[in-house]
Amino acid sequence: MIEEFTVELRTQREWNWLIMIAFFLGGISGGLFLLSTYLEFSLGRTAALVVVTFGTCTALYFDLGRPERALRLFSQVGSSWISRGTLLITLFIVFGVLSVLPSFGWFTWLPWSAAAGLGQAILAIALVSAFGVMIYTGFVMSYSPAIPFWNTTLLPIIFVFYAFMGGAAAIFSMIWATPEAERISQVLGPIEILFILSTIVLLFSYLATMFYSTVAARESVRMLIAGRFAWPFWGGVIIVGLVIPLALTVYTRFSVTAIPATAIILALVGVLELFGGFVFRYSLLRAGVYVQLI
Amino acid sequence: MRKVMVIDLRRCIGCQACTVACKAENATPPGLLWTQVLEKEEGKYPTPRKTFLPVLCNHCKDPACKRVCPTGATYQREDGLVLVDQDKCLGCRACITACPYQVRFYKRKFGSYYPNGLTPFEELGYKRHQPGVVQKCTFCSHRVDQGLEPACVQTCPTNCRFFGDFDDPNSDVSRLIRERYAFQLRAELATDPSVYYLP
Repeated sequence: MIEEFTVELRTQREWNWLIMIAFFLGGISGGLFLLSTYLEFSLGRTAALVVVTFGTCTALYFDLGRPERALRLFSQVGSSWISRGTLLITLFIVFGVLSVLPSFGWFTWLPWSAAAGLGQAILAIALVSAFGVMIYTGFVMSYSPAIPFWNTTLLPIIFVFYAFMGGAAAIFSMIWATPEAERISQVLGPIEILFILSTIVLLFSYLATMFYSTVAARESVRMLIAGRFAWPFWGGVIIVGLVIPLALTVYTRFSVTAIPATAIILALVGVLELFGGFVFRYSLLRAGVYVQLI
Repeated sequence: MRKVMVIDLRRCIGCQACTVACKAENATPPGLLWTQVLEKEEGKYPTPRKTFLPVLCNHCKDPACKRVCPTGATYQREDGLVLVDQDKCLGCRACITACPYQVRFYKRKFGSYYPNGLTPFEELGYKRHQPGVVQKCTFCSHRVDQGLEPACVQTCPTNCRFFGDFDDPNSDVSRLIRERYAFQLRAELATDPSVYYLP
């Protein structure tokens, strides 16, 4: 009798908008901080810390059923990726702020500077924890055996690339009106093309792998490519979030457009990519199908 | 000692007496079904039939829910029972997305079963449940501690549920698992559930 018994496939409903926002802003802030440090773009580093503090933390806090117990989040760092993520976010904020402070005029009295040994150590911790914030959300989801679509180590890797893309997108959105537009566009343009191409390859490898794994994972992929999330996926994630930004970035790279126009096109690339990045998290969370009981 | 439950699927008639017994014993609010019997129609006219699958927390030996819990609210006793410390849980629901058996529940607010507000039974019983935290079957740990069986096992009119010590080779559950080719749900996920089904 039981061999014939099946339970219909069901999507997860527990992690919704606030988690999508938290994962999205967390990725952006980590990528933005790393890239801004590499590009010596201090506005970007400050913006990253504002985003993670007032965006990610707020969304995560209000998603909790009992937010007044949030301090308990630190208690299982040995086993839980949510605990590890909380620690990483905290380290990122604390050491990120400490590394940024000397660049403000009011804090010249601090006993470290960006160039000195202590300042470099603080920055190193901030960078490592920023990278941790970029990747940990992928691990949070991939540690869920109940949802086979998420249960793969490809997910943290894709999250890292989306975080870098989000960081680059945020920088493009900010620099168009600054004097640093030309310098940063020259450096970040080719890197951006590499990020987008890598993300496209990874995303389709991930979907192909999942399609040929389990029934529940295949249903998740079907939902994305031909089911009820096909519009957000093809329209938002692929076309708006990857294809158009790639085409525009390549255009600015190989055209003879002057810098104000290039910077404005790249700002548009940034906005489109940010939109695509959010829809990616939305699609991934919404298409999380539980494994069948039997 | 490892407490396990064995469910004989050939005996289950889908009467949901276990569901009601659990409700009565644990006073769980609406939307929280710590145990229930899933059912499905099969076959075609003139020989259709219903098949039943009682489900509850599997109290896994290697629980995915415990691994992801960021506060240690989900813990495991020495007798294998997996429980939630409601005072530690902060309602992140990571355990719900990690549980392959979909038997964990979460409510931000509790309602009543009746339109005119909470009954005296509900008022008293709901004090045992906190809103905004994750809830699940406890294998009636309060009864087990007194040497009793879980309410669903005691109530089942067809005696399809058995409860006992897996580590005792002479217990009913050990014998049934051994002799009746018992199986676990989604055994391939390596969580080693403590609920066994007899085909």
